[in-house]
Amino acid sequence: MNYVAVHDSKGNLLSELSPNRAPSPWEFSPDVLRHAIVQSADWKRRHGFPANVADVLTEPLSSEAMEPVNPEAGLTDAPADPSQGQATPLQHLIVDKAQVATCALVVRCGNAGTVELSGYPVSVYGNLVRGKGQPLFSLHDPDEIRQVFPVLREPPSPKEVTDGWLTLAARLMLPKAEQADVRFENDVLVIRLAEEQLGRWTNLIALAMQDQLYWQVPRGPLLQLCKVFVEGVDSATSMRLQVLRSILNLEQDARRGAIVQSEAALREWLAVQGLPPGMSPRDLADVAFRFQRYRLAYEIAELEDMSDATVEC
Amino acid sequence: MIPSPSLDAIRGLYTTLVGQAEDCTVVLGECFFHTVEALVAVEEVGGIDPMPFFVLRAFEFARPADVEQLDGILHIGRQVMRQMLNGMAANGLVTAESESMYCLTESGRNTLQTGRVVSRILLGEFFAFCIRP
Repeated sequence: MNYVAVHDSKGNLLSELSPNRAPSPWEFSPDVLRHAIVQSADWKRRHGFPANVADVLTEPLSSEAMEPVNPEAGLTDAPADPSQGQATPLQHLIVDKAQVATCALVVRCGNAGTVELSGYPVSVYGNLVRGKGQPLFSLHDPDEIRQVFPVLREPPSPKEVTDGWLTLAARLMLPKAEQADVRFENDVLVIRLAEEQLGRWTNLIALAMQDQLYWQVPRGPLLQLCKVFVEGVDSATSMRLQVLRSILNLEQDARRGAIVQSEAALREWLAVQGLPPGMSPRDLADVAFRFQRYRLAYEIAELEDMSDATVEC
Repeated sequence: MIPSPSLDAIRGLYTTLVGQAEDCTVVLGECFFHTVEALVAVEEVGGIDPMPFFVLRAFEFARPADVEQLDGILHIGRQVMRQMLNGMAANGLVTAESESMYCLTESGRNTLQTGRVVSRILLGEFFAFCIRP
């Protein structure tokens, strides 16, 4: 259990945790607070702990101690708020509220071995509730980060990676997702595709090839967000993926109109894409058609048809 | 409950928080907090009013430091002096050795040197402690 300075001035980011969801046993010892109070000034500064807290009172106060400071002595100003500076008979009781906040936890590792964890509150839709510059809390001590979030020390297990992939496949309604070979590498979910899956999982492949596909992999009680990458199980499949990448690049290329205007221009463009020498515009059109780039497929195929027609004439 | 965002929301969240940064990991999860409200003593440092300060200075000259001798230096009246001393004792600057004898505390000597007084105020404060999710 670690002290964190929660930046929630309006008090609306933390919600009450229902008893059936609170970790059991839910206990708080005043010694935890006392331990924070006796820390050094540097520790308090780094953790955002109020520096002027000198003690926590856990015993009932004597009537003398509960009297406000005598303002006539001129030593201390009476607090403006009458509720401050006075204690009621039960005020020594510590109230412990179980609260929860759903957060996106960002762990940044610096060059000098520094680690910083910032928690940003997110809505039920997965959007940031506040701006990027306004985390709910931050931790700067690597040991403390490991202590509070021990699961971050280990990469996801193979089962967690598989579970994450199957959830993604279910979301995209991919058939026979269990046949795919998946792994988690350098914070990227890598999916190895066989030839038969190329034609079935076109939506997934197109999104991944455009660097538009991100997903979440379970990591203990947390979900790690990651990019999804696809690769071929063999050279032939890898080449098909490379062709698809070229098609997607062509689709986004500002010079697309000029490139698909003539077969010569298309072949010239193909030459710099690193595709195999035997790749014909018809092959390109075929792949474009299979990945539902119908307009581009039509434009390329029409080039070849026109070329054939010219030869026949 | 951890949200199950759409693909677009996941992409937006990841790209917003990570951007082009390297060595950056983003995880979604629930963080549990003990939000504790406790009565704490808060130390506040402030200036001391002139009258109590004169009383503290009078301790340097009063022998013995009883109400009569102190009033003999300041001439504010014994009842007023006694009230002043009681208030200063409540704030830990002096301590009563008998019904009319007082002596300076460590805090009182510091205040005499610095002109600043450290007072303790009882406040109800909130503290958040994060536990393992």
